[in-house]
Amino acid sequence: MKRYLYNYQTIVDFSEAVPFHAVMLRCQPAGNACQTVEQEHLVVSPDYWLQAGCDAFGNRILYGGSTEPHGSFAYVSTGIVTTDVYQIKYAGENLFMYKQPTTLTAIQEPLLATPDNVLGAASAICDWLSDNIVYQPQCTTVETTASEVLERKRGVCQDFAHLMIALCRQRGIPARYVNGFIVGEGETHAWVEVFDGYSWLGFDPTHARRISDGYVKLAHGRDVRDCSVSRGLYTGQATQQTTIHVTLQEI
Amino acid sequence: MVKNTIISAAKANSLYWLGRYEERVYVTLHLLRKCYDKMIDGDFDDYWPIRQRLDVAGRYKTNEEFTLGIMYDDSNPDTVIAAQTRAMDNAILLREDILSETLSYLEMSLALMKECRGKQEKNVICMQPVIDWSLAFWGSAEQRLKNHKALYLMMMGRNIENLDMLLRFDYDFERIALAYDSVKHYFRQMPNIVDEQVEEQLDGLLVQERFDLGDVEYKNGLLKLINQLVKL
Amino acid sequence: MNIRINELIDSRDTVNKWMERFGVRFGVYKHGVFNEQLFPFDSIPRIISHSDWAYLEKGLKQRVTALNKFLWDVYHDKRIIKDGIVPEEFVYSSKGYMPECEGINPTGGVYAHIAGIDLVEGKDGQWYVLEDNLRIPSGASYPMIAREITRKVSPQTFTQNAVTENRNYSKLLSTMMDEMNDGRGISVILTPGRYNSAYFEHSYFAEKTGATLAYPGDLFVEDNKVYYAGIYKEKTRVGCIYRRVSDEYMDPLLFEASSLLGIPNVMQAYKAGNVALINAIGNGVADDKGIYYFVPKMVEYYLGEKPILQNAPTYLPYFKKDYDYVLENIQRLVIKDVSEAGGYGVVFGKDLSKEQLEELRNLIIDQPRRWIAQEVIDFKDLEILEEDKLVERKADLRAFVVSGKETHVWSSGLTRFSRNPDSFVVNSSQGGGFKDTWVMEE
Repeated sequence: MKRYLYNYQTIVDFSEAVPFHAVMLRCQPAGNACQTVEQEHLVVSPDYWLQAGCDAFGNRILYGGSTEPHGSFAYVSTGIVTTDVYQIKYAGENLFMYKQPTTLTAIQEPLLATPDNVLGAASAICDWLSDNIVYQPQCTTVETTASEVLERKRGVCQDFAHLMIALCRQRGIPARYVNGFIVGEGETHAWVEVFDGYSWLGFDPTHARRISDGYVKLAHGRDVRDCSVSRGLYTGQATQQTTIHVTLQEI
Repeated sequence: MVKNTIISAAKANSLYWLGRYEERVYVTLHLLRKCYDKMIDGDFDDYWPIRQRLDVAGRYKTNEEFTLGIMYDDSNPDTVIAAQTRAMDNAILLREDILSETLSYLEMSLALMKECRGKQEKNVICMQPVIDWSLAFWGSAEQRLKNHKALYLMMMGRNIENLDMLLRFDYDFERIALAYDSVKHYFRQMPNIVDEQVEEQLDGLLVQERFDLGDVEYKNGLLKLINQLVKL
Repeated sequence: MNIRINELIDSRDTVNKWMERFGVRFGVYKHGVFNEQLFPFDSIPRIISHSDWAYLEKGLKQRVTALNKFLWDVYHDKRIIKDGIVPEEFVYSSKGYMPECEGINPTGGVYAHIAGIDLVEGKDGQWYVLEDNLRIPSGASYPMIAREITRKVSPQTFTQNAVTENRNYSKLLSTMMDEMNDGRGISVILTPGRYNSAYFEHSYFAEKTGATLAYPGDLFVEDNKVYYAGIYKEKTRVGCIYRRVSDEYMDPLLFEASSLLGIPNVMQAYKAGNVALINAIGNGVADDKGIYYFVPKMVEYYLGEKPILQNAPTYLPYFKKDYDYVLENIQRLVIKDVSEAGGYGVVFGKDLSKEQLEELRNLIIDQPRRWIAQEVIDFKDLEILEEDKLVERKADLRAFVVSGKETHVWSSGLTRFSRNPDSFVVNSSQGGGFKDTWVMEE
């Protein structure tokens, strides 16, 4: 069992006041069999109404907005989490959803032989990705598809995750996209959970490894679109600049 | 069904501009008829001032070109058909407020204009139904608009357009003072919508002692202020 | 039945003039440019006898009731899947299935408040359902206004013939909206805007029901409730949204992020039971081409009744028996791609060359789940007046079923006909026209 202090901070700066801004956030750690939230705090810009809820995939969400003209939006989500071995018991989710390709995860199968068992296959896919795809920051966008990544052979954690999901699903292995924090400082991270028939197991294709500890999960979904940490929409002509800072420290 | 008494910003805008454009159709036709009447006698000095104001940009060479142009040229924003089209563009967004019957007068007017244009009908009298329908439109709107605020917005547009046109065509002080008074009548119904500073300035300018439309600066100043009166 | 319609036919031009006067149009995009056209009206009505209608009415009510139960079941207990009546892949791989709707309880448990069921009459007098439209079926405004006009222009016709009133459609709508609103606030019709092909209908319904026509940007969510925004920061609570915006554009924070047509967080307000959405979100799973096959089975499963209305005979290559039959008889069947919408992905076996047939056969062998096959129905043609000649054309009937606290079938419908003598496609965007649909009182 490990304990971590997490701190997630986002500041959205608008170039001019916006009259309306609506948001949907998934910035609080998930509670599950191998992850317990000991304490948590949330600080959000005043003037925003916010409600807690749950999305279609069982993730915690915060949603709300502001109808008063304002020039920025800032929030901090911080707290302490304890984690156990990364193995999340099946809780009756609809597995069919996680076996179907989505727009972001549909590919033409590359030649890649994998073992029949789920663990072996997932590990082989991780290895293949690290041999064939180069990690290169800022070379893709949030809309980049797995098929494009396969073609260009480079990407960031989101792209590694999408491609791994695509390869798993082609083998009939239910796989889902996960957003969360990784030990250290920087931005949020993305990885994959595969279903072995009993539990969901974590794999980090960007680092080509099965996950044991050092990861705190926020949310999962069919691909990134289902579980973005922050989605927003505002009216007016302003442009926005977003600064994100994440810290995850073992304590 | 619970009645909605709230008017959205976009709708308020459409109501106001519908009022303005529909009034422009009416006044433009009125002035064109006046000009046409004077052109019959062919006395240049008599018709030229009004013709010149209707065709500010001087697009049309002959009197015939001018008459056809002011009625049917939709590439020129100052024509009857252009104003009618814009009135229609706003009205189409308001069907549930003004009702189909009211809207139909504009549909018929536009259809008639297009038909007359197709025939290149030169006699201004062919537009008489448009004048009739315009008045029917106003009567129908007044009868059918259940939301008073919506009606005021339209009437505000109508009266401001009227005032604007009278100024452009150098009407005398009495007519303009009267038109301004009508505008103010509707302001009192919806004080929220008026820019009070602009109103104060206009009050100061639209007095007998200062009234001089021959003074270009004075006239343009008035026109500018009138178009800033309503906050929408 | 002794029908006298000569006067009505003679007044065709007057009727069309009135259509113009009321602005009865629909929008079409051609090469990216928006254009509005009058929807060509043929004054010879489609006439449905009292007894035929009694049969259709009963069948439509039954079918829509079952479809509503199916939608509830799919997003809740999933009994029909667990009991093996509908295979799960047909549900979950349908584009219309929306996981975001799981567990949501729409007001009154109603999903398809307005259902448009497309029917055709065969030469044998038998009616067949071709398609269920449970998302945003459109077109009811046209026969409504056509009736308004024909009664004005040719009152005699309606003195002589006992035609059931159809202008009460707006009353059906407003009553249903009131019931779904449940006193929460005003009701609105949400239109994508002026340049939507059905804009006339949106604004006409608003006029006739007394609902407010709302545009994107007029509505917003605050504290889980929906409001209509007025000038000067006024706002009023919205209890019911008859939305003419597709599912995927309704909430940009949950679905299409780029959508400018939707209302951010409306799904949360909907989930909290603070607003009724008409129709419910997620209905696409029940009007999917693949699910269509199972609708008669739903009737038996949920209602314990024999289905009154028939589907066009349909085969699912997914099932072994049908698979063999389809591969054997492909040259005389209609093959439809389940994943394609509208008239796309529909192929008539008889139109294909030997090579093309073989190609299609291989596609079916490759992905049996993707296809359905149907027998070609011999439509009964309807007479239309072209110039001054009577000609026969293919036509269908879209019947409208409105469900609030109770389910009502509108005693009329949109009859669309194809202008092209060889075409089965009666879509208005492809140049077809429409007729009024008369349901006879006796």
